[in-house]
Amino acid sequence: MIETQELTKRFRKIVAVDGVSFTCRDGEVFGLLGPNGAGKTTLLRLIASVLEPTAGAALVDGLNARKEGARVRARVGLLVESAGLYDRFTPREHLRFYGRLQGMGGAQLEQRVEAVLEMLEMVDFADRRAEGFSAGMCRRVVLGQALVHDPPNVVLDEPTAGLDVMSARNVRALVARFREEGRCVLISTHLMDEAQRLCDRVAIVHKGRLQALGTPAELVAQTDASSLEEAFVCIVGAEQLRADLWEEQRAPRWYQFWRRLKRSLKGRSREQPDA
Amino acid sequence: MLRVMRTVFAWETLDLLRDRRALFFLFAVPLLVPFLGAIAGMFVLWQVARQTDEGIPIVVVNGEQLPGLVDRLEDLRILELVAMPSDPEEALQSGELVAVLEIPPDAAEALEAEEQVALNLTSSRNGWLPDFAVMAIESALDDYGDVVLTERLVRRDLDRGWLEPIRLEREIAAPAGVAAASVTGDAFPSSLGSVFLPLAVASWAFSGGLNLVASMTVGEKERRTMESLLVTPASRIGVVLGKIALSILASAITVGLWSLDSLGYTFLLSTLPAGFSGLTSSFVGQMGSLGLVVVWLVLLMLPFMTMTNAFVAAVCAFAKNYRESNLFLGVLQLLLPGMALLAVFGVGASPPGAVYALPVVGVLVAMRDLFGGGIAPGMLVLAWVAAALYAVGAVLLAAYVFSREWALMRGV
Repeated sequence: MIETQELTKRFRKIVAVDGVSFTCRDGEVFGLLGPNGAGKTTLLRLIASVLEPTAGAALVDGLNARKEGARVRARVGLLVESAGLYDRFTPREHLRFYGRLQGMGGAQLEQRVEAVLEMLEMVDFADRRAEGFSAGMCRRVVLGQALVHDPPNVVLDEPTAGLDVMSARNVRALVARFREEGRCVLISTHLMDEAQRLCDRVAIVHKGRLQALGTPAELVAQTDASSLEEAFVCIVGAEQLRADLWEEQRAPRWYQFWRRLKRSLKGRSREQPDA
Repeated sequence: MLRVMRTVFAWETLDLLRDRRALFFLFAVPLLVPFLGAIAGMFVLWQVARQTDEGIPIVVVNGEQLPGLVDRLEDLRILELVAMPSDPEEALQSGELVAVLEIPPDAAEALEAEEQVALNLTSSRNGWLPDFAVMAIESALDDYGDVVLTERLVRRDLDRGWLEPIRLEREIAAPAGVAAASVTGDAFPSSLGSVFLPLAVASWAFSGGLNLVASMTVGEKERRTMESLLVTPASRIGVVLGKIALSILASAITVGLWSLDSLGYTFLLSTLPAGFSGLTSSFVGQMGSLGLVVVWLVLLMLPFMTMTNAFVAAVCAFAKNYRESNLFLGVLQLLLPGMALLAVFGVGASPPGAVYALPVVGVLVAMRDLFGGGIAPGMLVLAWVAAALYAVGAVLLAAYVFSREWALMRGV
């Protein structure tokens, strides 16, 4: 189980994650939705103990990610969105290396490596060096690295990004299998269709804050929208407007005047051709 | 932690063994340089041997005036005394003849009268053979002139001391107990060792592991494998130690290969005939004590290399990308030889103990003194202990930087 309590992360003046709290239960697929730069990846890094929170806590199976980082990392399989590979090594060697770093070894590691290679359909290129791999092949190897130690909690950052239709279907099937196996699955995505089909519950994150939380159906109902995508636009759009207004009210008087002036000048220049 | 260190070390070693370009620059260059040098040397030796068998053709005019000199010239196998050709100038230009030594027709009388005799030597401009011929003739002339001088002195009841009223006898005073002179012997080519060795060690130690460390640290960011590494529960200190261990090993092998090259060349030079071995004539006699020097050298170099590699690892782990790391390393590349120059030329003889405890400079001054004026045993130990402490400090710094998110997540 993954739980966040008022989780906050600041990078100097930028607040990447701002007091986010949610719980992702075992046997549940939980989706994090948000536009680019919303803070989804930072949130996942905080949960996987790659980053340390500025405030609040991330708990994985009851273990605090800040205080028991190594134990948390052993219980989480994180698929990094933009991860690369070592060109001079094969997928099999990658899985062995990450398995060893997870503390595995001997026959147990070999069995698990074989299982992951088959599970992700990598047997055909398991012994080919990674140099020249397609984006989809790289993605499968990186996913394999995250799963080699058979983690009870799976955190996937944009799991189908860069994959072809068949590979994306396989990943979605895999996620469904994880749910059946009782694992806790946390997915970050900006594909509404994928979230609607895969996730039991979703949280919409915007500007580091949690804007809405519930099942896809609940969010659609809350916003009187016809789909999750519309609900998302409605929630994020309203929040964006609120944030802009708030920023404007907080701004100094000269800045407010300058923005009004700019807006009116823009309006006039647009009107002129018609005049 | 040891398990992680071993795993990372094995992984990085395999990566290095598969990287042909890195292997070439690290190991093949020091192996190829002596090979190419040996080919060039063999070619020169073959040419010399060929000429020695055939003899460099020279003509001695009026040889009967100084038979002792002619005997000496004939004894030199490299020269072949031939009869005067019909057109000596043409023969000199065509290379048929290399040199003409002209003895004045009254040379015997002049010598008898204890006068000075001026010989005239004309040589061709045909490659490097005339230089060999001139060197051989000069050596025979020196030898013969020495005999004539001794005869003249004996005739006047004088000895060689009369010609040299003041003589300089040089001794090297090593500090009591240990080091330089007592280890290397005062005949070791100390100027070479004390000036070039610290500079060379500084460059080798730095260049050997530099690219490797950069590839293992900032390279993880460039190829976007850093985060996958951080996601594992592996101890970050173990990871960085595994990486540093390989860079130290690679540096040590590179430095070792270059050092062997240098020793090999010095040995080769010392085995060349008289006239070619001026710089290193005493080297072979010192081979026995050289073992001790090498032990001290290795003892000083190991912590020095550990420190430089760990420091580079810390800097590269902080860098966002290769471009930024190259900027940092560019500064270091200027700084280190600068410190080596400071150590060799800026620090006076017998410096205070604190100098040996300075980072980088201490070890380099100790190396300089080991091959130069001498170093007290206490100072040698102090330099080593200080270097070892700095090495530990640098490793801790690298481990610290490698465990900080502000460093690791830069550029990720």
